[in-house]
Amino acid sequence: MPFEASDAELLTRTREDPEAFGAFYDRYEAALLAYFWRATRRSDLAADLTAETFAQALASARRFDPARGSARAWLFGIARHELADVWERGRVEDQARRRLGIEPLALSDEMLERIESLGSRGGPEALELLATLPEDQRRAVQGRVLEERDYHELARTLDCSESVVRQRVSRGLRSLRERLEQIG
Amino acid sequence: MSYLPELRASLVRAAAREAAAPPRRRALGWLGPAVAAGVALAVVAAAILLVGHRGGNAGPSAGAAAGHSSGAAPPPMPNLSGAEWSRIQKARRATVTQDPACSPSAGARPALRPGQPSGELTAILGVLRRPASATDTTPLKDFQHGPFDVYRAAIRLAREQDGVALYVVPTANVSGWRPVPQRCAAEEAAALGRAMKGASSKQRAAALDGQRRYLAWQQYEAEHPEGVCMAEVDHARGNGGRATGAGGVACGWNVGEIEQGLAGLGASGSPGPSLFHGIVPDGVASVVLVLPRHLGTVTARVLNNVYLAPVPRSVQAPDRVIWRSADGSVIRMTRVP
Repeated sequence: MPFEASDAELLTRTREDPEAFGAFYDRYEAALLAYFWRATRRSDLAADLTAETFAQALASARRFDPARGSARAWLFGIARHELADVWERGRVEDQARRRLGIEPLALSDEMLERIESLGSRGGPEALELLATLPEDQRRAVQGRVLEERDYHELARTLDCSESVVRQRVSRGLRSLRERLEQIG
Repeated sequence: MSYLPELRASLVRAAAREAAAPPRRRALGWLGPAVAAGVALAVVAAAILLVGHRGGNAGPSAGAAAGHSSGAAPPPMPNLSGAEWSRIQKARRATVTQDPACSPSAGARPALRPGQPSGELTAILGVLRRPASATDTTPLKDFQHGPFDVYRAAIRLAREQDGVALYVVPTANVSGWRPVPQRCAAEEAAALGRAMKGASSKQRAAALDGQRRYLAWQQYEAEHPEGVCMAEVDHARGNGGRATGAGGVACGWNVGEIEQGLAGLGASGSPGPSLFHGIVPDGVASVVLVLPRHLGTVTARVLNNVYLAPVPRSVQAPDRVIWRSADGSVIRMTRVP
């Protein structure tokens, strides 16, 4: 498996080489676990959501279209849908995992602790400070940095141009950095 | 080291099973006639809704710069909550699984393409009618992160100020979508209706209304694919045109959005005051930016369909942009989103 393969290439090659999906998983496992932990503050939920997100990604890898955006944005798009489902229904879906025959996760205490450590890394102060940003900057930073959404999609969601989103993210991050430096 | 090694192994095994399995076939089975009947009913309902919607459309606002070249006023992008959007996307996925023609994705597109934009776009943007010159070559080596379908030979340098160069970049498809057959709206409505079976009739009606507005907006965008992007090159910071701060490429506005005053609104990331910019159609000679917090106004001259106005660093965006013609009369006032 060449390390140089792009995300899109890995997804395409999954059809012939299952280990390509393993390489894709390796690239985004930590990022997804951290994303879900920050959203839920629960390691077991984060693991469950990560599993369903990757299962959805595998099930729809054939339909991934690089022209519509990066694989990262696509994967986190799936992740956001899974998270929205949790908030809406109060439970994690397992449709994709059942369809693909993926075994239920067996989580040890050590695994749960590692996930919590990963998710909380460098986080609580910045997350609290995030709430102090002006609404437009907070939504832009949250969308771009925490939810990993691309500028094009954010511009449409926030109903403004990409330049405006970039500027809000840039200014929001600068404010956060300055405030963190003040805290020491 | 993997955090969840068993999950990884399980996914790879599932990938191997998927690779070995024959492609899935569409199979409606006994559900076929029932779904077809439901779709037929939904088509009628959607048609009634559509007629009602068009009948109630107020059309372009008074005072628009020029007659709308592309027909009816573009529907606004609906402001949907995350849950609404998620439901709509689920209904989309369910529909596309049964009817792949309902996927709005235009598929893989080249970054650059030969040719020129259509008359619809050049009719309202004089900068695109100007013959090419050596200065029109952007230092952007490629557009590997988008936009796609860029008419390479039609890119024009519009403005250069304080080390910031702005290029108007016409593209054949700014949204990446393609129009879908008319039946798809009804199929998606039927899928959403099924997904909300347990919800109250009021909730279902609200969800279907949001979906209808979303699909109408998306279809309009797909049917009017041509548009412009704006590439910003900040020579002062030597970023070479790739996105840093507020620089880079911003996309993409079709003719309707340009005429509504929504194109190119943004500020460059240059040092010093922010340079707020926008793209305007022919006939707009100057713009007045009304700044927030009673900070006054800034007037900027339009050159090559683009204005570039310094605003204080503390201002993210003006509250309003007023277009004026050469004789000073107000053509349009746009509230900046």
